[in-house]
Amino acid sequence: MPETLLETKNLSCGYGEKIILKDISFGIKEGEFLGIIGPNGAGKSTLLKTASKIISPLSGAVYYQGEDISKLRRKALARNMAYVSQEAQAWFSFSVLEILMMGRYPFLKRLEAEGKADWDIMKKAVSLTDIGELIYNSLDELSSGERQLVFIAKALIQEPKLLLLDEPTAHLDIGHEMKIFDLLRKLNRQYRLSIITVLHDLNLAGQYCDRLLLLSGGGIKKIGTPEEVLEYKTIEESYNTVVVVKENPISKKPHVFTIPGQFNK
Amino acid sequence: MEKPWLKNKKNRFLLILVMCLVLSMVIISSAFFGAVSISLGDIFGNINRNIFYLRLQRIMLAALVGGGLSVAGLVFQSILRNPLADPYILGVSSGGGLGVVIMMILGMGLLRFDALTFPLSSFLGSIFAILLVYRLARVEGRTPVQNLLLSGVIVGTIFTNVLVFIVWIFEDKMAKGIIWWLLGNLDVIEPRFLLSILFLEVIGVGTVLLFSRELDILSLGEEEALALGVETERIKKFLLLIASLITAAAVSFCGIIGFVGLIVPHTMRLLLNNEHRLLIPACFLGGAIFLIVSDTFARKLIMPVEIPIGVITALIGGPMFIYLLQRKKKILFK
Repeated sequence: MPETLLETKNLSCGYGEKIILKDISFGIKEGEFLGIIGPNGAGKSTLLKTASKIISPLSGAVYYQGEDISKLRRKALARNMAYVSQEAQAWFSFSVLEILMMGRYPFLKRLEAEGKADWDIMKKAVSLTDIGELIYNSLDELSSGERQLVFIAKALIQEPKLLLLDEPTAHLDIGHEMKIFDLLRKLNRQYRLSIITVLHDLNLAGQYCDRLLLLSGGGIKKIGTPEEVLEYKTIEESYNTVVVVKENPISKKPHVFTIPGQFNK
Repeated sequence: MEKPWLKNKKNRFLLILVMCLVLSMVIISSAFFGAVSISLGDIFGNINRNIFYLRLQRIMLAALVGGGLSVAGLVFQSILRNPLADPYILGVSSGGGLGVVIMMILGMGLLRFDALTFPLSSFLGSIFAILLVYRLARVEGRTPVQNLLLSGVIVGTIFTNVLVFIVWIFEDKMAKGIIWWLLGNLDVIEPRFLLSILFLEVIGVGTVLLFSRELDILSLGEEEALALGVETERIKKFLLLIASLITAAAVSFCGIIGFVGLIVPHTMRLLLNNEHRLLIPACFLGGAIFLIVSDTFARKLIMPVEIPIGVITALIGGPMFIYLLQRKKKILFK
C-alpha cells in the first residue's frame, strides 16, 4: 500500500479576507498522477499555491508525509516538493544553465559551491527534458514551450518526490503540450514521481491523470478516476454548459465534446 | 544575450582581476593629478607628502563610497525587480541627508562621537525614507514600478527641501559648507571618518555577497523564490536594510551623490550577466573606478574651481536614466 504523500484537512484558502475554497480534504498517494480541474475562478491555482506553501491557508492545514507544512522550513519542503508556475520568467536576463542550477538552492549551504553531484543531477534533468542544446542560451531567447521545459527541468533538479504544476501547457500548441505531458507521464511511471497538475483542458486531464479533482462552487465537486469525474451531468453542472462524453477510441479514456449553439437558443 | 566568453569560469576570475588592475591604475594616476601636480620625487618632500596623503585619503573615500553606492543600487534593483532603482531616485539618499542634518541641530553635544552618530542618524533617515516610499507605492498588495519611481522622486524632493529649509533657518548652527556637503563632497575631514566608512561598507557589501544566491532567485519572482525555499519577505526586508545602511554610510560623510547606483550596476549587467556572485564584486570595483574618475574630473575640469562630485555624477547619470527609461518602457510598463 503506497503511503499518502500530501494531504489536506478541512483546508480553506484564499487571499486576505476573500475565501475562495472551503473545507477541502483530499490526499495524494506516492506515485499518483492527480489532475485538478474546474471552471475559471474555481480556485485551482489557489489550492496548488496553498499546497506548496506559497500562500498560507486561512484555516485547516496541509500535511506532507504527516507533517504540517506550515511548521516545516521552506528549504526542507523544497527538497521534497517542486512547483512550476503557469508562466515563469526572469526579470533580469539569466542563462538557462544559471536558472537550472537555482534548483540546487535548497541543498546548498550559504557559501557552499555546487559540487560534482549537483552537476550530475543537472545533466540528468537536462537529458530527461531534452534541452541540452539550450543551456547556454539566455532564457528570454527561448520560445514559451522551451521555457516551460527549462522550468520543469529546474524543478526536477530539486529531486522532488512531488511535482506541482500550474497549467504547464496553458499557452502552448498541441505539439508542445503532448511533449510535456508525455514527459510527465514518463517521470510518473518510470521514476515514480508523484504529480499534481492544474489543468484547463478536460480531455488532457482525462488522458493522463490517474485521478481527477473537480473544483466548483468553492469546494470539491467530485474526486475520482477520469471515468467517474468526467461524467456529463457533473461537468454540465460545474461548467454550466451542455456536453457529451464519449470514449476515446484509442486510449479508451473519456472524452468531453462541447455542443455549439447552446447559448443562442 | 548570453556572453559566451563568460561560459568559462577562468574568464570570470580574469575579469575581476582586470577590474582590480584598472582600479589600481586609476588610483595611482589620480593620486598624481590634482590642483597641485605631484611627481614621484615630491612624495619624499614634506609639504607635498601631506598633500599626497590627503589625496590618497580622498581616493580611498571615493572608492568606498562609489563601490558602496553601486552595490546598494544593485540590491535595490534586484529586490524591487526594477533596473531603474537607485538609492538617489528612491529618496534613500535624501532621507539619509535629512537624518544627518536633524542630528546636527538636535545633538550638538554629541558631535564628539560624529564618526558614529553621523552614520546612525543617516541610517535612520534612510530607513524612514525607503519605508515611506514603499508604503506610498503599494497598491492592493503590489508595488508597481511607476508608483515606486514616482513616490521615490516625490519623497526625495520633499526631504531635500525640508533639509534646505532647516539649513536656511539654523544656518549659524550648521557646520560650514553644508550646501557643499549636500551636493556631494569627498573631502576627508578626519581620518576616523574614513575608518568608520570603511568598516560600514565592508560589513554591508560583505553581507550582500553572502546573499548572492537569494538575489539571483528573487529575479524569478516571488512565487518561484518561495517554492525554491527562499524566505522572501524576511530576506527582502533584511537586504533593504543592508542597502540602506550602505547608502547611509556614504551619505553621512559625503553628502548626496546621485546616480552612481544606477549607472554602474546597469553597465555591469550589460557587460557581464546577472549572476550576483560575480555582479556584486564587479559593481563594487566598477563603482570605485567610476567615482575616482568622476572626482578627478571634478577637481581638474575647470581649475582652480572644484565642481561638486554630485553634479558630475548627475550630469552623466541623468541622461542615462532617461535613456534607460525610454528603452525599458516596453518591458517595464507592459
